[in-house]
Amino acid sequence: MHNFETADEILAIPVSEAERLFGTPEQIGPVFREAALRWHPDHGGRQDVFAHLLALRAEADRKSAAGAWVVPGRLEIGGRRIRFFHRFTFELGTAYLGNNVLAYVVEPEFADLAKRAEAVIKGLNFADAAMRAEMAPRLPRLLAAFDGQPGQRVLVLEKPAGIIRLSDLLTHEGGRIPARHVAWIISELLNFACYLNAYRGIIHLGLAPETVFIAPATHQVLPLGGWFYATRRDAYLAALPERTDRLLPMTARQAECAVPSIDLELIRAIGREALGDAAGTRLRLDPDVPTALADWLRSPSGHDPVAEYRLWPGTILDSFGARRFAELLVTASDVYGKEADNG
Amino acid sequence: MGSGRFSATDWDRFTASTTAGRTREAIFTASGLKDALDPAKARNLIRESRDSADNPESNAIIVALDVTGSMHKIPEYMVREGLPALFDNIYTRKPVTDPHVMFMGVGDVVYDRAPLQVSQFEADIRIAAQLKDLYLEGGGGGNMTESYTLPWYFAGLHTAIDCFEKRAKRGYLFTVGDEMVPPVLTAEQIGRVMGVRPQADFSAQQLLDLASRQYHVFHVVVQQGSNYRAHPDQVRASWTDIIGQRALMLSDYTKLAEVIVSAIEITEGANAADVAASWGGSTALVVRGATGGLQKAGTGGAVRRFLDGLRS
Repeated sequence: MHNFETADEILAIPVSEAERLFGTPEQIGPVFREAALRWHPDHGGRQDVFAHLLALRAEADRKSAAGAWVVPGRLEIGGRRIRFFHRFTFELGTAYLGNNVLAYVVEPEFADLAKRAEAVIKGLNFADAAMRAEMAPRLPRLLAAFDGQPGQRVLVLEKPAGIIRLSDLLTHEGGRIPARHVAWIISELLNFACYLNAYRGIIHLGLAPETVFIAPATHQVLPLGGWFYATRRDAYLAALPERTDRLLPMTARQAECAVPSIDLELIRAIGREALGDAAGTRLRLDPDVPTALADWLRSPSGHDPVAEYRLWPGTILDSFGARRFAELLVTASDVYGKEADNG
Repeated sequence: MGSGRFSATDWDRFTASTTAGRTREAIFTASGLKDALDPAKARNLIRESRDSADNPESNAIIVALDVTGSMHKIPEYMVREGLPALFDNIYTRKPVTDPHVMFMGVGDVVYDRAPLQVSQFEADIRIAAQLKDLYLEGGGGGNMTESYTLPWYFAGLHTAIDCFEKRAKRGYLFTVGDEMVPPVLTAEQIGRVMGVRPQADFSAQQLLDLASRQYHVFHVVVQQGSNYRAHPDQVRASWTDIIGQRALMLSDYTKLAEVIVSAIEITEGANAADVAASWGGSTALVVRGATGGLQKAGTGGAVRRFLDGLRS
């Protein structure tokens, strides 16, 4: 219990991460008894803390019985060990964020989608050295792919130290970031769409604040996640996450085909969400959002990423004037805690 | 906007004072675009559908009526019979909660002085008064299209609806008419209607995608319209090409309200055949013909699988 002295510290432990309180399955009983003595309402404790302790113990017992115990900060799976400082669930399973790796553990019913991601990521090639130099740092690199628990598929991606998942940043920043920073994120994503849609002939289909990572210091954007749905351009859709399905342009919904307008629509949606207004209806009245940027984020997506990217500098100029670098003053350890390396 | 509830008492009072025994011309007396319906004069260029104590879980529903010459019977039907049928059936069948209804008047942006008129979103009898204030310009031209894309543009960029903003639940947008969809809406045309000119022209596809961000979009093809009767294959293909099964073929315009409610029911999850069968007599036939191809809106849970993609 030495790490969790206060009520706030205990309440901050998600039920899904009960291991953080108990450490090992053997410690569930002793740790719970010690905590219960202190926090039981009959002993002058707090009802809300005690109720949370009960929920944590129940989840810990369940995980212990199911053989799903995860040592805090260390994932042991498929005979390998992966150190991580942040864990999150996603629609296909659980992901583990470490300083230099991002591991996606995909549940058995979605193993086909994991294989799809492996194939697409491995096939990311470049026309020449210049394209490689520009794009390779902005793309995922598969370090390993292997089977985990029966049927599970594990994908381990290289991750530069210091980058932050956009959705985690938005949570940390209270739901929105300044428009100037949204602008460079959009710039990078449009550039990515040009490479992926136009050069590689692939539609990503999973772009979202939950799959896009950013490097605040260098303004690089890395869509490390969401590759499970990537599909050849104009091919039939195979699967979509709920968010993409919800945002799917009507014309793509009719044809059920992978077209660039889907990724372009997802990029606009990321911009609106990063400004705290997913619908976009308040953006034009927001004094902190330049009108040109608001209009672009609210306007219908085009069908050609290259054409969109060519027009984009005009929106930037109209919004902010001449380009200048504006540092985003936040680090990975600000967002994830002291265990995160800032690179 | 969006407080109050639609009631039979209010409707009876409205009917007695406004429509009973009156001709269409005596009801729709506007001789031009009224400021209250001018989209360029909307406050902050936004129409709002907001939750209220009366309607805590509001759902926005837009019905955009063609007000060109051949379609005047549709607004007349709506102000005499359709409006109470729309509210009553939504209240009783409950495909969605707390309806907030907006009417639009649609003309031809190429020829008309008032190609787009927009009411507020209303939940009570105030919508009837705004409906009768529509200016039935009777315009249009010989281009075989009306500007059905203007409601898409306005809904996509100039409405703010709580059902979507608070609950990520799309509203409903129905355009109603007998002509084809125009392929392009130019920036100049938008500027004339809205008072603000966008940077670029938009294709009909782009505008459909735009409106679809916040709305389930449908078009009701009025088969009794003279343009449809003259060019049925062209009009049908124009709509099914762009909007697929959401082109609703309406064989009897006096069943428009029932077709709208049925489309909402099916989109929300009801079975199309069951919905059609739930109506009596000839209404069932009209509804079946209009909505037989509709399906529940895609809600595949966390991950949606597509059969064609799995085969390829």
